[in-house]
Amino acid sequence: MISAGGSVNEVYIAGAGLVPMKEKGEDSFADSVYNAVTGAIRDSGLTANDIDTVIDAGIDLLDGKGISNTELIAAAGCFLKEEAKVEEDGLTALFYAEKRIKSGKSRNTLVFGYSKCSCVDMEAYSNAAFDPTLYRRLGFTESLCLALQASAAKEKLNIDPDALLGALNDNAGRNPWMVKKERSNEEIISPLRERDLPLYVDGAAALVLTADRETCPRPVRLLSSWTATDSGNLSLRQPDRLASFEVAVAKALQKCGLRTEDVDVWELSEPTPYHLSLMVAGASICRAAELPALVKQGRVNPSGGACASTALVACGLYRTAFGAMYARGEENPFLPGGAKRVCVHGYAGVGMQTNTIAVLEAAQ
Amino acid sequence: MRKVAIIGTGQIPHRSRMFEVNEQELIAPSVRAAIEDAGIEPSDIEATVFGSAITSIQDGIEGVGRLVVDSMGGVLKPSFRVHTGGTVGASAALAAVYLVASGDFDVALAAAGTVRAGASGPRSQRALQLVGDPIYARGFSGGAVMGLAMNFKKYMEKTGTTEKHAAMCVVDARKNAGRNPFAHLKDEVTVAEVLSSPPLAPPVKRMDMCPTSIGSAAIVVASEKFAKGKNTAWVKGISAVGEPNTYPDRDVIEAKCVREAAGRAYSMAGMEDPAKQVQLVELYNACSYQTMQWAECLFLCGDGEAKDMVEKGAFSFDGKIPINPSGGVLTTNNGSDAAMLRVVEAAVQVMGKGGERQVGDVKNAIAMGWGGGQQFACVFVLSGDANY
Repeated sequence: MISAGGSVNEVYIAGAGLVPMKEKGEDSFADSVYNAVTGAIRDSGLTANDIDTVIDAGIDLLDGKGISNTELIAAAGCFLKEEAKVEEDGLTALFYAEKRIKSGKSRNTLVFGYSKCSCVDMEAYSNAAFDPTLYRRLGFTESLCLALQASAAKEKLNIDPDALLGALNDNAGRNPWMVKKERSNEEIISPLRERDLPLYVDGAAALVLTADRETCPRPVRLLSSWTATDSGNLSLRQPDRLASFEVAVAKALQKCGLRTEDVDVWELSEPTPYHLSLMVAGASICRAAELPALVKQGRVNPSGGACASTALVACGLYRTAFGAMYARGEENPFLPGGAKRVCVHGYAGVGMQTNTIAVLEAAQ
Repeated sequence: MRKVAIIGTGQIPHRSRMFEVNEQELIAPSVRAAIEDAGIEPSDIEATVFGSAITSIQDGIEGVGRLVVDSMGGVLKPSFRVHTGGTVGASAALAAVYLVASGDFDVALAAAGTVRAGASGPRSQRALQLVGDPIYARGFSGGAVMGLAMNFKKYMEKTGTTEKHAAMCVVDARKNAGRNPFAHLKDEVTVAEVLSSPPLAPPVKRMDMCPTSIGSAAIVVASEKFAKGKNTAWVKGISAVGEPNTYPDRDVIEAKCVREAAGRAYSMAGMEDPAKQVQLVELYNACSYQTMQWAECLFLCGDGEAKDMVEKGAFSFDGKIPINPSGGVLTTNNGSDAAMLRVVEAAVQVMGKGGERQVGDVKNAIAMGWGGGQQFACVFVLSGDANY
């Protein structure tokens, strides 16, 4: 199974497995992971024995478990396989998995990510991401960071959050994987209302990557992936710019010789509509004012985006699975026409500190 | 796989407490030392990987890798954190190797370390209890020492090894640590002192266990093109294997994950008889008896033969196959960087930079990490020979 052979130039997504996101899921971590993983392996046309490497994405503090992969690798069928856990968004785990396949050491790699946000006080959780001596005592949280960035985005860009949310929620309403929930206009932290903030949900997603195109019935080419991380010091970051997102997009596209206009569909993990506007403007995808129309057309977030259902850690893998559906031309209710090239995104860290991008293409 | 070399390593002296530094300040000196050792500029680093074990659950710090990214020179570069329990330092080094081996990077840096508590302190043990399933396992989970005590007892029953053999491993480790300026516990001890040290969970006594150390380590890996002309340790074989922490008929003494990882790494390196082909082994012995258990699982001798090797001094500093001339995990255990230090120390020996702890001309070396719920193993084969 494990190869010490030559390097690999082409990596494919062989299969994807998702569990429907839920506001409060009844399944255990292991059940959710098992369901996503078995779905992905079945979809890939491979068997569990064909998988040589397992890379999982999970976060101990979110799970309330130390070294949470200790038990979940069993649910993923990882018996004497190459294994690693990445404590980032699942798409960053996919970035690592892609590099391992390109090295020639792995052929078929399973990547999965999961979380049960319903069990977590998300404000306390995000407060723990700050330096315990300096920032944490000031009460910094994810909501506060998002609000600071949203305020700066509002100043800088022409954003109509209601038009954007309307378009996103319409798309989300057609997506069977998303949670459907009406949220209020109550201002939580200026300028963000309840409906602007991420709805944290439970979920699990898995993908199978392969170097062997011939073995999978419906491959999607993973053209490139890239990740970048902003400073860990908030004061060194510009609130009206997502620099690491811009770098990740530019490098991912550069690696496969594409420009932003070559991408048919963008599946972006936005915590708020303001951040989606910052992303598209910063990466020159479109102007913020054009964004609601592009969302309606299905060019940006035909899935409905992440704000409506954020399964933290698994978020980027959900986007990737949706992107793979489009590239395969699969029948789905939220992007009927399909797409040739899709750019997918995941993020981790407060204020979107780490951003990862992958570019997918329909296999020839 | 493309050729990848370790071109620089860094570490700081470890000790029991380090109240004067935060996470960023703990990592920075090791990163700086590794970059200087490699003879490169910080701007040459194209990607970074951070390894920390149970930081979030133990210290309540979420995403510590993103907190230290500035200290690693990783801002606006690919930077991520891996977490595989005690194995994590080696897993981080392994990730850096894969990034370079992918052909997308020429230079990558990995670092590891934890500032607030080491591997075997009381806080760590409480955190390790949280490894167990909350419904089925946590209620009777006893942390690392309890698990190791059961394994120690089983290992003795299976192999005829005695507590005295394990104590001899501690004596060797302390002697070796005395030559290592970065090691934590350097006071020499006698077999009698080890055997009479206070019991923790019989047969494990206090001196059988690793200490709680604060410190950090870093490693720079590079492509063949970038490494040209540099003093290097070539990564000839790698493997990191996981197995579920419970399954029917699991034999933790057999440690399938370690044997499997070793077999794969040796096969990749074209190594048929490690006992004859390596001049040094750095292994992850959190408890004294593991020096012998891992020697067997790494195929340095047959099952049950390690005690005889210990009696003959074969694993001592001047022995046939020196094990842990750095002092090993028995004398320095940060939890997060311990497995990386195995790779660092093996590379240091291959590069001939060991100073007083250099065991001689090391052509091939093995580095091994172990952890999780006694289920993850990571094995490196390093070599001074670029022709492979």
